[in-house]
Amino acid sequence: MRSLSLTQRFTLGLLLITLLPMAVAGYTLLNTFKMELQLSAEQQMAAIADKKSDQIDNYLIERLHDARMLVEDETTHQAMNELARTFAATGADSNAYRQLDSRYRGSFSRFFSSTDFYDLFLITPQGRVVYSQIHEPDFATNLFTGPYRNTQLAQVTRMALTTLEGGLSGFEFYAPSRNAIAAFIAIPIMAQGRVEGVLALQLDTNRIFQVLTDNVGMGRSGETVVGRLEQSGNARLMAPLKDEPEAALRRIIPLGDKNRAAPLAHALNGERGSGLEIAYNGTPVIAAWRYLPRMEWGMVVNISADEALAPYYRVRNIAIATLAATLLAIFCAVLLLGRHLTLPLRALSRSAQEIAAGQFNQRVVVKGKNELGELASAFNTMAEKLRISYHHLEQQVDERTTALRQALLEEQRTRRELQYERDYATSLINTAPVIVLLLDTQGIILHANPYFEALSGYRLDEIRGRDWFSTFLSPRDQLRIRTLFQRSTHDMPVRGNINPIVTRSGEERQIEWNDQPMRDPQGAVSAILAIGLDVTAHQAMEEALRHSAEQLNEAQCLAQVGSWELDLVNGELNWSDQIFHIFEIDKGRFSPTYEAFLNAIHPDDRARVDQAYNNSLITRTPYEINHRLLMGDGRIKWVQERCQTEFDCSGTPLRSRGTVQEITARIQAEQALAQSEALFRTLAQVAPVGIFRTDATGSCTFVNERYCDIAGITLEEAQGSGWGRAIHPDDLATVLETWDEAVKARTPFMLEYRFRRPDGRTTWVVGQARAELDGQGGICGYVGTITDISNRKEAEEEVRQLAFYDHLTGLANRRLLLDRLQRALAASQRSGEQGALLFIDLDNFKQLNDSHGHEQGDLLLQQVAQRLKASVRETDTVARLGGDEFIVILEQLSRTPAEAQQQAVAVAEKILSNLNQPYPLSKGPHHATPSIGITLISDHHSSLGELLQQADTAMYQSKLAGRNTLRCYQPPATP
Amino acid sequence: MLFGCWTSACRKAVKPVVERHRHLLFYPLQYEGLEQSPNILYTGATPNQQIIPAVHWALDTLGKRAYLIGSDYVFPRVANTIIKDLLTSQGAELLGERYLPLGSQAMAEVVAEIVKTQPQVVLNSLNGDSNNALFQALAEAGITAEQIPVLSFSLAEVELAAAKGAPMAGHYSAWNYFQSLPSPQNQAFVQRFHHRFGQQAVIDDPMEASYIGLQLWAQAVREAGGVTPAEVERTLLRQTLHAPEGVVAIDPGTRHLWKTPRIGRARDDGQFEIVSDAGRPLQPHPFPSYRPRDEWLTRLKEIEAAGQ
Repeated sequence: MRSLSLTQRFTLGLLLITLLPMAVAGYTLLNTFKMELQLSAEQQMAAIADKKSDQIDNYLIERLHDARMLVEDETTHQAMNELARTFAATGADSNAYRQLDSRYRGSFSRFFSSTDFYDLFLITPQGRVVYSQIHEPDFATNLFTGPYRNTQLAQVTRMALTTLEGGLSGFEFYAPSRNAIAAFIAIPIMAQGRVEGVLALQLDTNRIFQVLTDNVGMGRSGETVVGRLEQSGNARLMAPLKDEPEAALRRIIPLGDKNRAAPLAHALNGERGSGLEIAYNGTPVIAAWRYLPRMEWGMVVNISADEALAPYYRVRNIAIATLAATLLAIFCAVLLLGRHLTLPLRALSRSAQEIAAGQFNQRVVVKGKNELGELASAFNTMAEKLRISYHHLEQQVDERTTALRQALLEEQRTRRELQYERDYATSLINTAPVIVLLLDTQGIILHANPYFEALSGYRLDEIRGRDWFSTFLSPRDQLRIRTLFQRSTHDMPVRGNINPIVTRSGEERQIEWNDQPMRDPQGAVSAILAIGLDVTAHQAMEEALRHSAEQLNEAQCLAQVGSWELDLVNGELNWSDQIFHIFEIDKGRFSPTYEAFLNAIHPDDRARVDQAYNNSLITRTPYEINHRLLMGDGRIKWVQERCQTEFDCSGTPLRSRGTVQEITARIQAEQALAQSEALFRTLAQVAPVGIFRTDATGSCTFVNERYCDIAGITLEEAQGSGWGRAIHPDDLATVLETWDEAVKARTPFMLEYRFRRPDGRTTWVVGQARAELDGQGGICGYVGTITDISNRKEAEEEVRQLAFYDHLTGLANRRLLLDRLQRALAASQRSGEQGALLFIDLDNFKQLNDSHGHEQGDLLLQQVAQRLKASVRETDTVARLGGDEFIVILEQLSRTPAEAQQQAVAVAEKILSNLNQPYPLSKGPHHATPSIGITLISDHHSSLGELLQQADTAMYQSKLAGRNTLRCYQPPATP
Repeated sequence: MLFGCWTSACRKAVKPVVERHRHLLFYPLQYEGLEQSPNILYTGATPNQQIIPAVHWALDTLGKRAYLIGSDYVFPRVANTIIKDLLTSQGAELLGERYLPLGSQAMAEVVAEIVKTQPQVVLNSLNGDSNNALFQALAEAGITAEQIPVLSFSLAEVELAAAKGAPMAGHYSAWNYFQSLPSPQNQAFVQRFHHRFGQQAVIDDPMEASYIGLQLWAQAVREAGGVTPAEVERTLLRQTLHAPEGVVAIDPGTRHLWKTPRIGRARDDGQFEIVSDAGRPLQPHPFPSYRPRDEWLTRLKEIEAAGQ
């Protein structure tokens, strides 16, 4: 508002003054008009609703009345009684019934001259429909037990019988009338206080719908909606809608939404009223709602709000247009008036702005003699006076400004210097690794620096104002220090006093204190500035140094190491106690010199030692030398000496430091060892056996040349675990196993085994080894020999061959066969696995022998032997029993006899096939065939003889079967 | 505006006065019917809204051997006239019919007769304290509600609460309203009632009917814009109301209400378990239509004459 110009304010104000009353009045009038319109529409709807409900109710009352009149008619009583009787006696199809029916039909049909009713029923108290005017399927059924027991007709009949009053049913789709909408009236027929039956009338619902859908006087959008409350809480419409003729009984209106179908919900809630509401279809309506108890219907009569309030909307639009036009006119008029008033003011304002900007020569044009003209000339006079006084002012201001600026610069400089000094002091206090403490004269803490905070573990705000002595000093020191402090406040400051403080963690810190009294402007001591240096570490270091020197001496004594130090600048030489001891010199009577040192050395080594030291000074490198000492009694001591010299930057030696250690015992031991080693090597070279040595883990450390000859490997290959690769693969596991057993049992190792040489030859050896023990009885290695026993082994093998093998074919002989067979039998009994015995006999071998000679026969047997071995597994045994008879033992066959037999037959067939191939003999190819007998080796055989006998029997079966075939042994059938 | 009267005798005394002054009386009790006044609005049940359906139910459910007992004044006598019509129409058996002076406690003779005749149902229109005496005497005679149930027409929650130990549990009462009705409308009404009169206060059919009368009058006043009987009369007969018992509407032809008949069985806690509900309001018929109106009026005169 403040930024608005005078013209704008003027315009706005006038608009407000003229428009506000207009708008308020217009709005009030419009609203009243609207309310009146709505009220009148509501009244109209209410009147129509009342009229309609009366119409419906009266119509129904009339129909009930019609029915009562009919019931009171004597004919009806007669008809009821006679029809019921006849129906019960003879049924509806009898002639008697038909006669009665046609008689009464005539009299009842008069009742149907109007179109109010659709059908008429007579019903017995037991629910039987004994008469119907138009004979729909409900005729002759029982309404209490029959198919229509749940219809409205049945219900209203029951109600009539219960209350003895006539009643009206609800509306429903009635199946017997082809699902037309139906409603019923039922009246009990009584005589002498007894119920004779019920008269029921089916209403023609079209008449009721006509009343409901009559929208006369309800405008274009007027509509009547009637509904009935469902169990679900929704409403079911009971009559057609204007736009939906099929809605009756079909359309469900949900009542849950409060903003929708509210009038219907009100009506079904038993309320009676009218108002502006939202109808079931979402449109705003002026509605009146009523509850019709006779049908339990809610009825809403409504007209759309748009239509009802159309005059209001028209007037409103006109009012808005008029208002807008008026607004425009007023706006233009006010704008013109405003401009006329404000133009001279604007000129004045512009000039004043110019003067304010320094244009003191600015003047305004004076027009007329009115208030604005007077204002203009007064303004001009003021501008002139302003110009003169401005000049004076300007001069004074210049002078004053110069003076002020000087003063200001001076002050700024002083402040900067002061600030610098303060910053310097503060940062010094905050960063210096010393305690800065400010105490008042009573010892109350005023300030402490961050170093002290870190050291003490207290924050300044925790200790400020506390007593120094009781806070930081241990009780034993408090009184003494407080006295010292009191002296400081009387100008006797403490300097260099060391006393401990106790930190927050309880630790004591040794502090060296320097106090400085601080004075107030009057010169009195106001506070004490205490500067403290933490010397705890320093003191601890001194203590540690002293301690370590003692320890060093002790250590040298234990290690028999002496140390010396020679200051080359002043010639001073220091020996440790141990040097005196080694050199066997009395410390009390002798002061150390280099010459004394050289004298103690064995004469043969003196030159060497002296030279080593001098060399190290020249080369500036440390040295180490072993040499002898010659003692006074002629004993010789060996010592090891180490030395290092410090030099300055120009290379001048400053100080030499060295150690001397006695090593006599070690030197003697080394010499003895070297002699022993030499002896061993000589022995090893000349020994006729291979010699080896391993460490505790079996890794080889030494072999002699003979070992390499025997094993067929080089010295290098034998090192470590390489010797294992030379051992025959078949024997390696045995060797390692035996070796491990020997190690575990701590017994000597001894075993016969083979080496396989790179050229393929096998060497048999007997290996022996013993453990070497260290001083504590632990095993530190093994030493052993290997001796070549190949010649002996060959001899042994020959003997074995002769004993167990057939000399012609190399197959197992009878002796070995029996042994193997025995084992196979035992294995079968143990494992349950079957075995098989194959008896193979060559056909017609005798003829070959006779015709071609024994040599050809032997050749054939050898080839047969080879083919047999090739036909079976390595583990199976092939033996020659003698002559042309061979045996094959198959082991580890299946556990089940049938499968084992199959497996054995398969092998036998393979043998049959292999032996059938031509044999290249020296006199040309020869063809031979075998006959094979098979028997199984299982766990119930008692003897080898029986087994062989069975196989032989089976083989004989093959022969009988024409030779060159196989047969399995069949046990003879038990009698 | 008058709201009140309990017994029919009282109403009949007031009726000529309001008629003479063209005033308006709201009468809240179920009664015997056979009356219609242009100056009375009846908010209680007519026989066809209480007695007739209840007796029908009793004959169907409990048995067709009935014993009638009532106080000796116009309501029980007219009620029993109607009941006897029903017994006849249903082919039921009347075992006895006894009237006791209003307030009588002497039940020995009646109970002895009940024990002797062994009815299947006792139809009871005793009024007031006599009910306590009847149920006490029945219990003392060793008759339980299971053996011979009593169906009462004037025994509500208030009487149960005041029974002082008389064993009424298990017996039946016929009304339009019970405090135990489960509808939200009634639950809210009972809650408001308890809030106003205390948790122990009980409410029954005549109280609810009084409440309905007042509400209907208030609605009519609002719609009419005036309180004189003439103004109220203009809008009164069109009123409907969502009452605690359900929606009620004034039947303008009879000046009675459309009401729903119900039957409750008394529980130990002084409330009723609803065992039968007509399911919809029935039109009031102060004059049961199975007999012509002039015949009813003659009967009434006979009964009244006999009473005097």
